[in-house]
Amino acid sequence: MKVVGSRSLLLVGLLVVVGLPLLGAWLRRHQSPRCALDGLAIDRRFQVRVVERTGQAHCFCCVRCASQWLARQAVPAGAVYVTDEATSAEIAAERAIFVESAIVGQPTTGNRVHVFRTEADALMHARAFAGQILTDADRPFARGRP
Amino acid sequence: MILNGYAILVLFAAGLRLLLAPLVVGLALAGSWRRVQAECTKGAERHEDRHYLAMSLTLLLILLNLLSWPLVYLLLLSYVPHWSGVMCIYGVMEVGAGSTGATGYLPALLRFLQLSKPLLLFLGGGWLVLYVLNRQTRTAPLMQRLAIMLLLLGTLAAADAAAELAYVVIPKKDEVPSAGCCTTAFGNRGGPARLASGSLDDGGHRRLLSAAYYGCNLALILGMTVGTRRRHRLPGSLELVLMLFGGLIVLAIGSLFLVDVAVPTLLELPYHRCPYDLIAQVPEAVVAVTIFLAGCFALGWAAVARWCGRCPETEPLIPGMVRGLLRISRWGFIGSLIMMTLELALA
Repeated sequence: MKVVGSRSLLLVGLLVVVGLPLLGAWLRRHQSPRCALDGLAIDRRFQVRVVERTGQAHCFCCVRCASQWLARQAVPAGAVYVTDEATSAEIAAERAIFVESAIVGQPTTGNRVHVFRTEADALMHARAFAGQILTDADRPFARGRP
Repeated sequence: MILNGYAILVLFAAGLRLLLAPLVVGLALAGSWRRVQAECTKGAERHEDRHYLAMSLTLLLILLNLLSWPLVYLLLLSYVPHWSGVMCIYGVMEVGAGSTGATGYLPALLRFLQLSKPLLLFLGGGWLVLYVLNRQTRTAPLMQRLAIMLLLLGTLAAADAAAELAYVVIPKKDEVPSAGCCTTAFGNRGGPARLASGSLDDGGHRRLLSAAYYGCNLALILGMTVGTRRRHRLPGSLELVLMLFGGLIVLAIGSLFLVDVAVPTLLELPYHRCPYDLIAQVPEAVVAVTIFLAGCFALGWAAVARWCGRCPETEPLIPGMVRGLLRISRWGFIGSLIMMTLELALA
């Protein structure tokens, strides 16, 4: 009787120890994309995509997360793509206009840097929300730029 | 005060514990845990009734203490959506930091709760071990030790429940957390910048930590297997001290391994080392951590049985109890090792 009890206990233990990780991995197989730095759900309007020289892509929830991630890489990125806040279209980072304003785009990271494709949109945002256009070394992704 | 289902549960459990803890302490001080000298008298019967009441209340207090540990984390998790800048429990724990007034105490209250919860569980388990030993004797020689342990348990449980109540009641909704995510916080502060320094991102460091984690765990499991091999033989003091020391090392290395290796791998975020995120995103990893902690606690309880439960009457009972607890501890370490390895392999 005692042997049967021990065996049942062992079986239940094995089921928990082996079954739970398998079940967890199976349930998480279709996860929506998350920020590669902090794991936050990505709002399409602020998405930044970094493509490494190897071709591997990483998505981020905002400019700040992408900058922090790039600062920790030994090799500069192959390409950085940002999202125009006015149209939600993806553009290369070197062609984008960055505005730092009072508006917090991503509250979790405190990101205040906004991305625009056209100068008119950027100026309009800067005027409306006490912002300024970032130039030269102040521009994000200066180091990670291909 | 943010009132939701978990807050109400916490308030109820903490209120109940705040009532029970002084009762348990009072009964311990009133001598409910002293040995009965005279048998078959009215006084002895009354004393026995009071003893059973004290025992039932203590068991209830231990159960509530145990339940309050996960409950407080579930409460913190339920608070996450209340601030737009908070993404996990870490952010909730930062609410109130640097504020003046009662709100400023929120982080300190949570730090206290994080220390008191495991200590309460250890004390409760230790008391139960001594109680089981005492029950098997004829003259109940461990009553005084049980009463002393209850004084500690009751006092700490009251402080813990009061801290929990205070945490729920203090207004916090209007507070703006200083950091909503550990990645941002460490990145900003730069000081504890384990995340930003790059030194810990080094694959070599992770490999070393992994080797230490597996090596120490396997050494401890082997030591326990050897220590519990012979029936009817109590592991010597030196053996137990070595196992306890090994357990502390495994606990320290296991904590580092969890933060620096397991969390980034399981969350698939190489720069994210916030173990609180496992609760919401990889809950089965919390089971592995719980099994690991059960192993550590059982090892500590074996030491309590060996050193606090020893007297001439319990002498023949101690080897079985210590060996049993060491076996539970060993299985805890084995189970957690297998589970964590499997989870890391599947991540």
